[in-house]
Amino acid sequence: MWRSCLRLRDGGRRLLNRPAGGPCASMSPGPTIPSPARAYAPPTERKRFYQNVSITQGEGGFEINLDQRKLKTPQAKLFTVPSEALAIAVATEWDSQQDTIKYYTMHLTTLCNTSLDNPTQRNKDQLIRAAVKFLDTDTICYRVEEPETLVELQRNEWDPIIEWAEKSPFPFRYGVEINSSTSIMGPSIPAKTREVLVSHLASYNTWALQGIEFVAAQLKSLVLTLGLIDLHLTVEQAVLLSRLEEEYQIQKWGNIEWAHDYELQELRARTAAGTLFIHLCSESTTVKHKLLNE
Amino acid sequence: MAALGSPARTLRGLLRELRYLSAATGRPYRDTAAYRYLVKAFRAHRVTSEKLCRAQHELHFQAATYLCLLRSIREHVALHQEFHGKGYYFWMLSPEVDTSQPRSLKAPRNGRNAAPAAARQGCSRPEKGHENQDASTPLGAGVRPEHAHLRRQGG
Repeated sequence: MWRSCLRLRDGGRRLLNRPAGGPCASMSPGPTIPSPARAYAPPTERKRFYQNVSITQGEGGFEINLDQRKLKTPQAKLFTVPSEALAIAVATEWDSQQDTIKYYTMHLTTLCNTSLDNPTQRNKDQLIRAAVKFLDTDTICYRVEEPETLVELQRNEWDPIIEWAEKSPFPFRYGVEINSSTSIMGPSIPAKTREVLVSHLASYNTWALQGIEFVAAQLKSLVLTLGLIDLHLTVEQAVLLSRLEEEYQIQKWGNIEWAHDYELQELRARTAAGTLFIHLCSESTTVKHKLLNE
Repeated sequence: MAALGSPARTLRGLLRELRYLSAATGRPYRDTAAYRYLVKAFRAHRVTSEKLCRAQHELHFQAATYLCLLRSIREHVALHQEFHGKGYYFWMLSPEVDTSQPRSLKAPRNGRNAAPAAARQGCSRPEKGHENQDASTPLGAGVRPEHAHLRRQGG
């Protein structure tokens, strides 16, 4: 932080004194003498360069238009999404940027880009395996042995979720076992549970699976993710359950807004984006038509 | 099923968030595609006679999720601007921070974000046996009161 301040002090003068034909003149079509702060904005910060955001329907799906230009992914593919609601939500993300484009707030856009570009080149099987791997280290299966009040809290809040996962018709059609454990090695997941889960996840398309893996990575729990998919938990509830021990410590020792709340809101935003993404990518269009005709 | 509250409340929350977003662009929020889509979707589902229709619940869940997304992004950006935007050292120089005392990583002793009174009484860590004093809060030694409503109401 101090180093970058020192750079500003020295470099600012040099930049402003450069002749008009120098390299900085071609950088942006903005004002000719940029203020020092804007000139040294990190390269990822871009100003909003468009007025209107709109949606059109193309052959591959719905596309986003920024003024007259079509939105593209980072790998320069045309940005198309299968669902109109998803397209509207992405358009709203772009439309809500003021002054600078804050890419870190555009979670739905990021998820769509990942699904379209597939930068890690994973196929469906690899995505399923990555998601199921979370079950081995599922947060709600890891229990502490002390303090007693935290043990009780974990029991009261997490046991019902495990019970729901084991007994509910979704996602496990047959009764399966999910054990909780206090050991550092984690729970032992029976092979049958794994098989049932793999075959269930295979029924989702690649886009939805990207979303499922994303949410499981955020919450550190696959069971909570399944709870969200099945509408059993709200996002706020799932995030609370994922952060149970942190909330316990906050209740005991106090809340530090710029750390705790910051992380909480970021986790909520990412989880909400992922959950919405999963639902909007798994909808079938036949349901949509029926609703529109009513 | 997740306890979602009333659809009207969710819709009101969504419209409020859309109003905040439109304040940025200066265009009325009723002009946005998001507003038109949401109003159409909520209206369409109100016609269904079955109260326990899964499609209705699905829409409400998606709307509540979207509301959570918009709200948490807004709060996250606000926290970022307030605490992280200008850098930690600029925050330290701001008038709210008392720089006469050496900086510590302890939780604030007074004010909104203070530790509960029970924990503030002694400077030493509470013994194992003293943890029962936390049982006075509605959730035992549980979560913050403002998050109490998030506890699931049964299955």
